[in-house]
Amino acid sequence: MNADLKYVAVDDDSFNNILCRIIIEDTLGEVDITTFTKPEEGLTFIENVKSPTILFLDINMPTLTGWDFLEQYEKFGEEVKSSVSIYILSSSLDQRDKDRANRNKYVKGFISKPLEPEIVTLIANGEFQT
Amino acid sequence: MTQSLKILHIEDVKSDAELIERTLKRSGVAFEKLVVDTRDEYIKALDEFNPDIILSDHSLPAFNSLEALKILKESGRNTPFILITATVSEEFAVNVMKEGAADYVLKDRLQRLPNAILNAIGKYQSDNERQIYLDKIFASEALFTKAESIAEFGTFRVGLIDDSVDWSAGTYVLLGYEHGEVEPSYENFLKNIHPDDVGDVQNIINTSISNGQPAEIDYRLIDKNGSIRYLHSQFEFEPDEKGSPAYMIGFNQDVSRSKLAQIEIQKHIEELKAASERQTAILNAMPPNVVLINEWGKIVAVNESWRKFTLANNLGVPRYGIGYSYLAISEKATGVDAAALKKIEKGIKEVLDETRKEFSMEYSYYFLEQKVWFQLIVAPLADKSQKGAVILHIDITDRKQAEELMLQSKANLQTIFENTDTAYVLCDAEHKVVSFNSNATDLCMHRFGKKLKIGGSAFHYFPKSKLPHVSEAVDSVMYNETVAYETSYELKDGSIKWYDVRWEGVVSEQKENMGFVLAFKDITERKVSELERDLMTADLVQRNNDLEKFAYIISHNLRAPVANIIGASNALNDMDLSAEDKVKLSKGISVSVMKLDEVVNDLNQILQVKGGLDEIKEIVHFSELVENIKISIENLIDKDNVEIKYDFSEINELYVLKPYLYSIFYNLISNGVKYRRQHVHSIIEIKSSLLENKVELIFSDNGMGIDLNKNGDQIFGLYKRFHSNIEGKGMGLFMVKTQVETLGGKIKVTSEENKGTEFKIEFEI
Repeated sequence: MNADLKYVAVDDDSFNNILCRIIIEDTLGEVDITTFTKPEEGLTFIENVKSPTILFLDINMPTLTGWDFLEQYEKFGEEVKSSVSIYILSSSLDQRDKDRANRNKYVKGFISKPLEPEIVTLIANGEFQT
Repeated sequence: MTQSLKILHIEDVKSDAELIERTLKRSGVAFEKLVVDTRDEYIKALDEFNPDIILSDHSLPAFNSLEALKILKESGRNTPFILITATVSEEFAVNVMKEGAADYVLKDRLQRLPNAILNAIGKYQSDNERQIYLDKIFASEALFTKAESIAEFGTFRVGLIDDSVDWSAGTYVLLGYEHGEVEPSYENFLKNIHPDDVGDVQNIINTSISNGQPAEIDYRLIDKNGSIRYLHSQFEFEPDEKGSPAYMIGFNQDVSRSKLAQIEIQKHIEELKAASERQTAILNAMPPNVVLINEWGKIVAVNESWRKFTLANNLGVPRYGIGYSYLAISEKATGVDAAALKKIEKGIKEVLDETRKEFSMEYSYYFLEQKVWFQLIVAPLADKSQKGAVILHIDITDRKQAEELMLQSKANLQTIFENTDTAYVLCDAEHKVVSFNSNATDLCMHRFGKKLKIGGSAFHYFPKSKLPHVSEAVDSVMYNETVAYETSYELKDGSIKWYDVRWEGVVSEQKENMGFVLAFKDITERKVSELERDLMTADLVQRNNDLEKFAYIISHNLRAPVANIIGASNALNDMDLSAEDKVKLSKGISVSVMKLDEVVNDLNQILQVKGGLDEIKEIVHFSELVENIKISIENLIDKDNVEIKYDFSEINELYVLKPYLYSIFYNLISNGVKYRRQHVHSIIEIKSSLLENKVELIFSDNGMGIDLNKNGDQIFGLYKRFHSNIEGKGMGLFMVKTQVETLGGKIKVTSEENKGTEFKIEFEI
């Protein structure tokens, strides 16, 4: 487990962000977690990431969807992209959403809400597979 | 002498004349004497007196004896001329004799005169007789030769004992020689005979000679110029004193003319015979029954077809009816009705009388229970010698049957043509209308307001705007392509008629284009239902899409709080959490449960709208709606200084489900208020317009606006939100659209960020 890993959650549902924080902290202990309910702010934050970061990204957001987010992300520099691992965290059960997520080369995996401690452990160990 | 001698005396001396007269009287010669002393008298006397003898003194005052003699000779008379002179030299006398005088007598020896006269007359008489005899001989010989040449015959005589051969002039000519050109001989006789005939001629001659019997033979001769002549020779035999044949006497005649004429005639006869045989053959080969009748209507000749016809009809008339009345036989043969028979009789009579050139009629009768048709043609017989007519009976049953079938099939076609629901117009290759059915007449009248007529150009009926298209269609069908399309026309009452139009080329058996058929089939009913179906399908597809989206959104919006609840309750159960976290989680659970409830409520609301139009429509006044809404959101308006204006002057009411229209107005107005721009005096305007059969409502504001390039397709989506800083569920516009569509209307939006938004709603009335 990489102790220097940072965690970011982008979701307009603030309770989801709280829940994420509680589950990650409870599973991994004291880690660096940043959450955003406004995806635009999350995007700005990610653009400036310089160290290894796990991003939990929601899809259904009013002003900027997860897909829009990914489009913007594509324009970021290689330094950012090599540091960030993106996981879609969505309440969607729709297979089309899962397929679309898996087709995107920046998406490491699709996680159906709620986020569970086992998943967090696997991701932290780099062992998660969709 | 029984007759008195006529003596003409030329003398100018009267005494001399009297002296001579006395001398003659004394001698006892009976005479009458005329004395002349001038030349004119002399000439006149020669003619009028016609003397038997002329006595002439030698010298006269006017002329002399030599002159008188000359005049005599010139007159061509053979009258003795005796010179009486007083003195004359011997030499002169001889000269006068040489000139033709019969004698001369000296005046002093007049006693010799009577004898001299008698001698001269005697001599001249015998001379004359001999001459006449000779003349006769010569004349007869010339005549004979001439006769030979004219009659083209010749004779010959062959001595059987002495081998002498004589040919007449004609024989030379006949045998192809000049007279005397060759020796008359058997060889020369045979020489020019046609080689094919020589043998026969020799045989006949030999046989004839050996048995002494007369014979005749015809043979050909080749002329000097190579042309062939036909000769006929006859021989007989002349016996000697002992009765045995001594001479063969032959008679040859040129019979070329008659022979050639005969050959010619034979040729003509053969030609005529051949022609006649050919004609008979032609007549017999002709399928029509041919009968020749004479001027009394009796049959004089028939052809093979007629013979078969009479046999087939079992007429029982001998010789196929030849010699019988044609009409009687026809009646018996065919049982043609009396009226037709009468007509035929009249026709034949008129042709025979030459009052009409030809008579023709068609008639029918039943033969073996089958109706048969014949065409009867009566034509005069072109014969100068007798009157008559030729009657032809042509079997036209096949043609008639075909005609009847055609009429029947034409009638059938016409029936189909008239009873179809399609309008048909048939045009020829020049695009002229040839035929059409009553559907086409009606259609043309209703559509183009024109009466469809035969003969006019098809282009005439189409409106100008359609002509390029029509012209293209005609070009295509002329290449025998089919042109088919559907078209619609608006009728005067505003209703739309749909037609299935087909242009089909009409092709002859020779694959030539003869025109085209234009068919209009009214497919309005089908088309309308098709369009309705298309509309319904599109609507269904839309609804299905909406439903899918709806299902997705609902699932997401239901799932999100559920996931939160699951996550939070798991954490609460399984994790060792701080009290603070526990509070957060249990708070979160109750928020999520509230959300869940909210979604279920929304769902209920949406499904109610989508559920249908069970509620009752009523007249709703727009101004009333707006005023009510203004009151219900009064606190918002007052607080933010928002101006709501409306103009419903054009139309202020709609027969509609009031709650829906209220919801639409409420959502659009409250959105205008909610998404106004800060620091800008907000104006919301509502305007109604009446467009033909539609009511248009425009809601415009000067608010924040939406980037439609980015969000255009989602603006009416459920739970779609575009402004995160303003509270909202993303339900309003979704509900507006759903309700507008449920009321049968349409909604469109135009918007620009930081400028404003305009919604345009149309309801059909």
